[in-house]
This record gives sequence, C-alpha cells and structure tokens, in this order.
Amino acid sequence: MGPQHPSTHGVLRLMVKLDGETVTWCEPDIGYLHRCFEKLSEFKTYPQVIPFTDRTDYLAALLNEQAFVEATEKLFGDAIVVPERALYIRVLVAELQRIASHLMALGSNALDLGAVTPFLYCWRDREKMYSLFERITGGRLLYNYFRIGGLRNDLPEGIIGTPNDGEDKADKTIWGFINYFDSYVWPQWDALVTGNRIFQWRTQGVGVLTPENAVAYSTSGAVIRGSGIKWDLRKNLPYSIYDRFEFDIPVGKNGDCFDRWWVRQEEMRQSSRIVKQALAWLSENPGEVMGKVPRVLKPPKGEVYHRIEGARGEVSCYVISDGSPNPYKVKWRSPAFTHLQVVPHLTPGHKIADVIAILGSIDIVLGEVDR
Amino acid sequence: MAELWNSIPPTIQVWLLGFGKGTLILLWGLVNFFVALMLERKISAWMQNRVGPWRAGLHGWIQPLADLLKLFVKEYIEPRNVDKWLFVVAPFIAYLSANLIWLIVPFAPGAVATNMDIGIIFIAAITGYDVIAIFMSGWGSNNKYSLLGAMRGAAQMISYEVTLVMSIIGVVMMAGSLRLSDIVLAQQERGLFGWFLFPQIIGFVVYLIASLAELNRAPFDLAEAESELVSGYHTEYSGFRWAVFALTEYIHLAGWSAIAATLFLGGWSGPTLGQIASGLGNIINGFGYFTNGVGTAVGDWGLMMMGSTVWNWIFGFMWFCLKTYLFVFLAMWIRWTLPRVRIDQLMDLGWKFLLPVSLGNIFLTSVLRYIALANDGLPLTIGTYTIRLLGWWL
Amino acid sequence: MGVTSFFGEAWRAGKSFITGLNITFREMAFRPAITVFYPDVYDDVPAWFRGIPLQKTDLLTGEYKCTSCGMCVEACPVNVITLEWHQDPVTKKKVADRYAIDMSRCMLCNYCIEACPFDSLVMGYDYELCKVDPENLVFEFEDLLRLGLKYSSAEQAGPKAKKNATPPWVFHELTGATEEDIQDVKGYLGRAPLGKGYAPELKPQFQKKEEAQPAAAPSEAKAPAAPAVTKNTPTQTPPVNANPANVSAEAGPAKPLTAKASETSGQEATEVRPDQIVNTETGTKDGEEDKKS
Repeated sequence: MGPQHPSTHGVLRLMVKLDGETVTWCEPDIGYLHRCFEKLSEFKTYPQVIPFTDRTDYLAALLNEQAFVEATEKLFGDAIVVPERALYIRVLVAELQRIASHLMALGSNALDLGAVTPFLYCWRDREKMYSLFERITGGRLLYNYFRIGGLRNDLPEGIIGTPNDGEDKADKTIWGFINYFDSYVWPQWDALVTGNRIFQWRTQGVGVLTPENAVAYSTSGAVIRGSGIKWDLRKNLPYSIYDRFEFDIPVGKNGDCFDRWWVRQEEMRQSSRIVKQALAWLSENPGEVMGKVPRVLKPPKGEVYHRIEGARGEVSCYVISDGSPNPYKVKWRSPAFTHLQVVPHLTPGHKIADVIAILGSIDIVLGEVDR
Repeated sequence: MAELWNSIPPTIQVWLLGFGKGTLILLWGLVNFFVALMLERKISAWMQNRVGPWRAGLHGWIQPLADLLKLFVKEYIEPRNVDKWLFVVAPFIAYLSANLIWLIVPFAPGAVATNMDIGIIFIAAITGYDVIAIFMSGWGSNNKYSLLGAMRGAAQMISYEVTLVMSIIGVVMMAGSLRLSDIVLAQQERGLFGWFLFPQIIGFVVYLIASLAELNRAPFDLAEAESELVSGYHTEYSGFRWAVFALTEYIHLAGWSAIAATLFLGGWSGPTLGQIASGLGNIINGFGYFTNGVGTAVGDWGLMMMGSTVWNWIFGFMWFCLKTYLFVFLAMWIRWTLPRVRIDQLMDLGWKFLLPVSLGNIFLTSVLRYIALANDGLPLTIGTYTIRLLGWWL
Repeated sequence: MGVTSFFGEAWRAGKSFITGLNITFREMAFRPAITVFYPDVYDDVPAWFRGIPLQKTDLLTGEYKCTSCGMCVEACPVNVITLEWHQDPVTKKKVADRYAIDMSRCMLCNYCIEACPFDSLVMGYDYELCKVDPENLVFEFEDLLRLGLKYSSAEQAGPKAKKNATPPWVFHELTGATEEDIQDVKGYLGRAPLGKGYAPELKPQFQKKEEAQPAAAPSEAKAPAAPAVTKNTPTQTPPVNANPANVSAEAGPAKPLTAKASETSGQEATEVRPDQIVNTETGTKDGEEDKKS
C-alpha cells in the first residue's frame, strides 16, 4: 500500500502480504519525509532549532516546541527563570494543540473507516482553532511561538474572552471556543461516530494490544492508555506546571481500536478542563512572558533528556550542549515512530479493512516518524 | 396523424414505439443522473457545512453538465494487458442494466414503458447484469486491487439480491399482483395512508438496506471506495468509460428509488389537480356564505379537471418524482452519515439478519391477512375486532 | 446468539443510526455553511499575522532604516537573506550592495524581525504571492521597501527602536501615513537614499569585465517583483549571473551551497558557510579578522 495513502497520515508505505482477505505479514516502510532535522540542528543556534521542531509533528506543533524549549531551559538550570505567566500560557496553548491534534486524529480515523462527514466537522473546528492561534502567535499551523526563557509575545487583548462567550465568538476568543467545544462539538462526536453501531463493529475487537505488549513496545500516549495502563507523563512524571491543574486520565479496557479512539475523545474533554483552569488564572494575573536571557544563548556543557506528553504519546528530546551556541546533538524521540512498530504486530490475522482501521487508531504523523 | 399511424404495418409500429420509449428512457436516465449527482454534491456539502459546487453556473447547479462534458472529451487511458473485450464492454453492460429498470416503472396512470405481468421479478432478473458487469470490469482491469474489489462487490450484490426480492414479496402479497401498475392502483384504492409503507414497515427497512447494498452505496461501498487505496473495480477506467460508470451509479440509484416509491410510497398516486381544486373549493366554501361564489367556482372547475387525462398524468408524474427523490435523499443522507461496514460484517448482516427478518415479514403478513380474511363476518369481540382492524389495515 | 440479542442488537444499531442521521440533518438544515467565498470575500487577517518580511521606510525623512548590520542574516534559520556589503572608505560605515530575501524558502518564522535592532523589518499581511517562476520570488531591496510602505510610519523613531514588547509593526492607519506616502508619491524609493549607502549600481570592481553586463543588469533586476506583476524578467536571476566575481553567501534558488570562492578575483578560495555574511570588498567573513587592516 504505497506512499500515496488514502488517509492523511502522510507518505507511508505499508508492505502487506495477503492470503485472500487476511493479512499474514505487514511491514511499514518509512523515510519518505526525512528532512535531516537532527543533523540540521547541529548547525543552528538554539533559537533557530525551534521552528524546525514545529515541523516534526505539524498537527500539534507547539507541543514539540515545548519539548525542545523546556529541554534547553533545563540545560541552563537556574540561569534562566521563566515567568509564571509564560508557563501558564504554555500550558494553555499546549492543551489547545492537544485538542486540535486529537480532532484531526479522530477525523482522519473516521475518514479511513468511511465516514466522510466527521472529517469535515474536524476541519470546521480546526479552522476555528487556526484563527485563534493566528491571533495569538501569527501562524496558523506552524507557530514558532515558544522561546527559551518564555514566549515570543503575550496573548493579545481580548483573546481570552469571558466565560459567557458562545459559538459566535468561537474563532475570536478562547472561552468562546471552549464553550462551543464542550457544548456542541464533543457531544456531536460522541453521538455521531462513537455511538454509531457500525463504527463500533469496525473498531471493537480489532487490533487488540495487550498491556504487556504495549509496555514491551514502548508505546505511550493514547495507545498505552487504550490498553489499560494508566500512564500519562503529565501525572506520572510531571513537568512544567501540570501538577497545578486538575484533570483525569482516561484509560481503556481492551486495547482495541475503539478504546484508543475513546481515550482520545475523553482526553479532549480533559484538555478543555485544563484550558478552563488556565484561562481562569491568566485572566487575573498579568505579567511578563519573557524571562531574562543572555543575548547569545550558550547553555553550559551538559546533556539533558526531557520528556513531555505530546499529542500522540511521549515526545522527548535529548540535547547535548558543548558550551557553544549550537547544540552538539539534538535527538528527537517521536511517539509515532515507536508506535509504528506495533502495526506489524497487530495486523496479521485481520482483514485488509482492519489494517487501515488499526493504522488510523495508532495515529501517526509522518513528519514525526521521519523527522 | 392517426391515419399516418394506422397506415404503418403493426410490426413497424411496435419497433417505432420501442425505439421511442427506449430513447425516452435513456434521456430520462440522463436527467436523473443530472439531478441525482447535483443533489448528492449539494446535500453532502450542506451536511458538512460547505456549499458544494459554486462556480459552475447558477451557484453550481449545472456542475454535472460540466462534469459530463469534460468526461466526454477527456482522453481515456487503457492499460496494456487488459482483457480488451471485458474491459471495454463492462461499463456499457452496467449502464444497460441501470436503464432496464426503468422499463417497468409506472410514471403516471397508464404511462409505463412495458407493463409486464411479471413486473417485479423482471427487476430481480436484471440485477444479475450488474454483478456480471462488476466482475467483468474487475477481472478485465488486470489489477489485483480491482479484482479484489470486484470479488467483494460481486459477493455483496449476490447476497443482497435474495433479501431484496424477499422484502418485496410482502408488498406483492398485499397487492395481489406482480404488475407494478396494479400495485400502485392497490395503494390508491386504500385511500389516505394507504401506502404499503405503513403495514410493510419492516419490509421497507429491509428493502432500504438491501437496495443500498445492491447499489454499492452508503455503508456498503466496499467494492468502490475503499478497496485499499484505489477505487475498486473502476480504478482503471478514465474519461468516457468512467463517465458511463458514474452514470450507471446514479441512474441505478434513481431506478431503485423509483421502485421503492412505487412499491412502498404509492407511486404516482396522489391528489391530482382536479382533486386538489375541488378540495380547495370545499374549504373555501366552509368560510361562510360570502365565499360561496369563489368556492363553488373553484370546486366545479376541479371536478371538471378531474377527468382530464393530461393533467392527471402531469400530477401523477410530479408525485412520482417527489417520492423517488425522497428516497434518493434518504439514500444520500444515510451515505453521508454512516461509516463503512467490513466485508464479513456485511455478509453477516445480509444472510444472518436481513434474510430472517424479511422471511419473518412474509410470514407475519401472510398470517395476519389470512386471519383477517378468515374472520370476516364473525361476531365482533375485542379479539376479532382487533384482528379485523389489522386485517383492514393489512 | 439468542433471539433477544438479535433484536437487542438491531435496536441499538437502529437507535444509533437515527441519532447520527438526526445530527447530519440538523447540520444540513439549520446551520449555515462556513465557506468563505475567496476571492470574492477576504477573511480577516489578524493584526499579528506573519506574512512575508518587508522593509520599512521612515516616512518623515524618506529614509529606509536598514543599516546593513546583518543581524537578520544571522538570525534566519533557513538562510534566505542575502546581504552583500562593503565598507565605505570615507564614513567607515557598512554600505550594502545588495539585500534580498528569497521568499520561496522563507518559512515566515519572524526571527529576522525580532533580530533587527533598527525596527526596519516588518512582517507583512500579504499572502497572495504566487509567481510563475521561483526566481521571481527573490525579493530585492526595492521590492521589499515598496511593499513595506504600507507598514511604515511617520513617527520619530530612533535608530535602535525596541521591539518584542508589542506587535512589531504598526498598520498604516494608525501611523498617520497618508495615501500619498503609501503610493510613494514623493518618490522616496526612486531617489538616491541619503547616506545609508544602498546603491543600486554595482561597484565597478564587481561588474563583469565584458561590457555586456554593466550595471544595467542589476537595475533591471530591480524590476518589481510585486504581486501585481507576474511577468518574469530574465534578469530576475540570482546574482551569480550578474556577479560572477561574487563570493557572497546566499541561499538563492538553484544555487549550490558551496562557495563561489573559485570565482573570486584575487580572493582566497575558502569555504563559505551559507549563513555567513561576506564583506564583498575585503573578502572577510563575518567573525573573522579583517585581513587587510
């Protein structure tokens, strides 16, 4: 199943051996989107790497920036203090990005299974988020917003809105969007796709990943939570200020495609809870968003491995600094690359149609897989 | 004119009539294609918060014309190593079968192309052509994806043919005849809410699902849309030949919808111009003495018009079109809402669920009718009264 | 599978389908389409939108603000900014020979705007930038100035204006720039700039020895690359054709990243990293000692 894939996951080639309709062997062939991100970062200064991290997982760009920026800030240790308002805004936009990324995952998964309309609903709502991000950062899909030591700019005036904002303000204020999301979008997804019996027939019992295998394959994110293991880096290894927020971790039961879908859907709801809490804090606490940083960023010699809970799983960044303005090495661990290993394990024994369902539920983005 | 017609020998008359009807049906097929494709694109767009085609004249409403013209002049690529005869002929066989359905459909009182005795069974026979056409195109394309798609499609269509015919038998039992025009007349005689939709609701649902499966549409379009990443059995077709496949799909859809309208929704029966006018006249009369002049005039005109064959035809045709497109809309609505089923689930659904349900429907219908007819004339008790009510209804 | 599960399954399935159908019907009938009928209707562009980077002009004096310091070149992650300069022997200031941005590679990351100490660069709102040839997407300095007039202001700004605290540009409606200013009625862009050193003509030592390539080539290269004009002029090629003696580092299209050091006349053949700024006169690269002095 060649690099031109029916779903929007990217350029992936899946080699599949069939016996009639049943798959006997499957192997993904990647590398079609390799852009030498890690090697390239050795020639850039630390701030210059940030726009490139955007482009790995382009559906949830700010989460990647968070990984790299926080890793570099860890290298600096106490020399750089990130203002609190910047930390809250980082969490706010990261959770909004998580909602956007999950919408895309759900939409493209539904498209793979034949339901075209939910895919367009996903875009209707992602467009509203694009407008919001455009107002905040200037970019729609790729942002270059985080800086080492804070953010590029504070939230513009009026973007937060009031808790009473309705759908008409959904692309202008964040409260408007969150209210619209909670009251209209999420129930619509639940009723239209998740509750649909045909969808359940297609996804329940398909691609069952046992908890032991989930751990053995180093999966993370929705994949491991779908298999019943309650592992979320925001709670288990808290980074940034996630320990100040109140939210739950949804966990699946059977590890099939339906559970992974359901986990993503519930995570969107939890993310919106976090957003509301962040908005409440931000509307009351003005302040700086950029800490004091030296003109030329030269982190002290050292290495750091920083992990965050990205949209698709654990995004982590291993940065080695040799004291110069350019990093010595930036290693990017992407969840989609790791999850792609699970596909050859899950697909044999299923039908061709299930291969696509499984691939969609693993939720890969080739930008992340190939870097 | 009449002398000219009578002077032609009868065999030539039959041939001329045949050609005329055939041409009309082909043209009607094109019209249906136009309307159905337009509806499909616009309805799917509205359901997805979009506007669909917009720029191709009149806010996009003549888009299918543009598409058809483009496809006619487009170059068609024929891959090497295809089985030439199969590859080339397959679309036309499918097109043929789609148009043949329209032969027996009654458009208006007395307006049927061929009023066959066997009526419905003719359609059951024609669906075989579709299967052959799909298989020919899949095999002839010399492409393993097409072949897989065609095999799935053929299996699907054969399974659901049985169920389709079973679901129709309930209606046939109630109407007492296989002839489609008789079925419409039976519904007309039953009066208001006399459509077979109500007593045969189970049959209608089964028919809906089975016809969607026959059409390779809606939740059952495995043969066409999914099939790995290509379009299944019509992957290798381009240009005019693909246009013929597209024509087939929408004419087929409209054809099955017309059958549904005839069997379940009452076909062309509906208030004609005369009836509407006379009813209106009565309503106007009811407003008081001062409207009596107008009311009586309208009512009388209505009574006069009731006998007019031409107006009856026009109104009958209008009701027929409305009902057909109601069903088409239903099919499209379902398509854009539900995800696809898998092939084994589809076969399960067809054989293990729909077939028993349709057989159950036949059983139920026959039992209730028998009891109702058998109890006609017995003393009224609550039980027999209920049964007679059911019997009247049935 | 018993009889109850048979009907139970059917009931559940039917209920879920009816719910789904209800949702799509309501979407169709009661909610309007969200299509924006571009290009008849343009969607709002928010104030902080990042379009292509452009150069501002000080509308009070008619001067542009760029001093060829080269910070933007260093800051750019994808090396799309080309800056060639030499040192003016009299004033000892940097004089730019050529400043160009290759918009086909620019990823609109905004670093050049943030790096500029003189508040000279600005992110525009233009996003309709289609050209027929990629060479036309190399915007030379005049084009950048022309398109940047909309964002220029008539305020008294010092040479080292601070930014990053507010959106780094001001829309002209707020600046007091008049339509005349924006249409460049006073000819700010046409006349020779006062003392900034940007000279459209090539210095004689960099012109080709054959007289076929005089300064006409670069000045023709200043043909507008504004979006309204799509004609591809053959001189809109990377200056490697106009300046064979050029050792500058640039990231223009169809240009290998290795140095043109072999084409220098009288310069050392050294590797030039693409993001380095090269002094065209002395041949030194940024960061190195000036060998001549």
